[in-house]
Amino acid sequence: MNWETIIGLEVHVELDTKTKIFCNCPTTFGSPPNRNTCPVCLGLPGTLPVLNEAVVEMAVKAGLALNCEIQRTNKMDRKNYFYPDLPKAYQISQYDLPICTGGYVEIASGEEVKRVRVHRIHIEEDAGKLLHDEEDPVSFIDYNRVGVPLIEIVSEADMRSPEEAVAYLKAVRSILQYAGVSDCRMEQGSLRCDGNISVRPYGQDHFNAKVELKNINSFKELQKALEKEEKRQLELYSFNEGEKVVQETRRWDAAKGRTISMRTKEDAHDYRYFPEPDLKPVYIEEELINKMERQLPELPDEKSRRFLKTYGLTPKEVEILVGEMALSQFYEEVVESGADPKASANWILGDFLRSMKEMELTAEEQPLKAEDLAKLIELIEKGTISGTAGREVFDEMMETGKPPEKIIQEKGLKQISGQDELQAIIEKVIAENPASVEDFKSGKKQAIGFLMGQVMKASKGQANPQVAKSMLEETLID
Amino acid sequence: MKIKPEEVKYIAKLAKLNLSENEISQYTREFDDILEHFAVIASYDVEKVDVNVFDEKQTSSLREDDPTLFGDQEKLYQNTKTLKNGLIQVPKILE
Repeated sequence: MNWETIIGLEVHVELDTKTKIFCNCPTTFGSPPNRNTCPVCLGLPGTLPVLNEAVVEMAVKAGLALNCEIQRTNKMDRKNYFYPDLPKAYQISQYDLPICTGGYVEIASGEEVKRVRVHRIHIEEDAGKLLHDEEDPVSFIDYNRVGVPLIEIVSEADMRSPEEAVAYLKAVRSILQYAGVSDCRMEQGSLRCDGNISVRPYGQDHFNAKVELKNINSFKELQKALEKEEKRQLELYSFNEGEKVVQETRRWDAAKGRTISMRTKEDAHDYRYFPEPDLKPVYIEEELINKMERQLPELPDEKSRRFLKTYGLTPKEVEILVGEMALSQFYEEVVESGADPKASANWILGDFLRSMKEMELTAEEQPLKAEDLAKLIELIEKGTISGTAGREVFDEMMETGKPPEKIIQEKGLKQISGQDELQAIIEKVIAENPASVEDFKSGKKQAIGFLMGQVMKASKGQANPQVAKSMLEETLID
Repeated sequence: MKIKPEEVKYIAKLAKLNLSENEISQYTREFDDILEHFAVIASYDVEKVDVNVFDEKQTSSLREDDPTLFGDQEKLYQNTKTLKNGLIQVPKILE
């Protein structure tokens, strides 16, 4: 039997506001535990929430960037659940009137462009963080994250493979980065994702029971978790144990590489949603929507088209460059500093990304100045230094941030292209190796390889190979 | 009766409340009275009422995105039993 995999994603994104959603506490990541808290976000009696205008603005912006319809009237609701990460014992979220509905994201699926529909986007507050002690039977709570504004982007169940799910998440991430609503750092938890997955025989209309996967912190883990769960469900169905696939929440354990059942997923009404009595409905002026529309910068799709057209890059190259906003900006700065577009792409996608990975840096943290990389590319193209020396200079630039000319000077890496200087070396090599010269003259053309090697050695690797080779040939033939 | 004792028990469970049999029958009665009272609303025809009835004047006033630190951690956490390096220590929470 042929099976079809159905995937939908819920993506939580922390908005890049300065304060929390309902109070003035700062949202800085990495503050001392419980420092960014106040009576409002701790839910102490007698406090009232006041909605942050930047949250509304950014949610509208995100909605526009994801092609959604903005709901001019929307409202906040209470979602009740008991868990120690939630001091109020309810989360203020949106239930039946979310701020955005009905958008879409375009992803590449094989050769085709596929539209994954966005069902809705709503605004809500984040919960705190629980830490568990390895030895003692205690847990710890840090409420700094409580009340940090989130948008939850709920897709339709439009994805048909783990690859499509990863492509969708990557697309959402880069769109939101470009729109400037979040830094979307998965490693810091500012972008989190739950996956809903089920399988069904081809041609079956209704969906089988779906499983929700939680605790996925990277694109790689998303791919692995979905593949593993897909396999688990397919195996159960093929062994006639389909009834064991139940609607439940399973936690992805990255270390063990498997999913573990958490609890049978409660139905939505168990949260006993009701309209938040402490907040009036949110009304969005047309003026605000227009303002946010004007503020939207060039988004990834548009940028990709422009990169393809302007710089003559391959689709794969454009995909990697544009996928990360900081990387695309850096690329354009290098090109604008005068470097050849193709050579710039080769350096950035090759040595630069490799080096960043080795140094465990993100595109935002990279130490290179665009004009320095442009200069390095120019120096190699002009033959001032060799390609090999260029790599050495590049590594040093990544390490120290020094400009290339300085490194070339310090390390004496300048290529010798000067006729006089090279001629002297060539004459010396010829004088010292009469046997090889004799071989060459008697027709053994390969002898020139040995002589070139001697020239490079004598110049300590600094001779410009192309220039030296043609000069050596000329001298030998004379 | 619009509500059954089982439903009261279920809601009590969600709210993490231990209710005695007496309380259950009392709440069942009281919930029922409340629902009875609100049933009046259901008798109105709201078919033609737009959900977007709110206007600007009735909506939330928004706050500027300007951070201030509350600062007085001592006061804020004076009722916390155990703080360890700023973290609230609680009995082990299992998933």
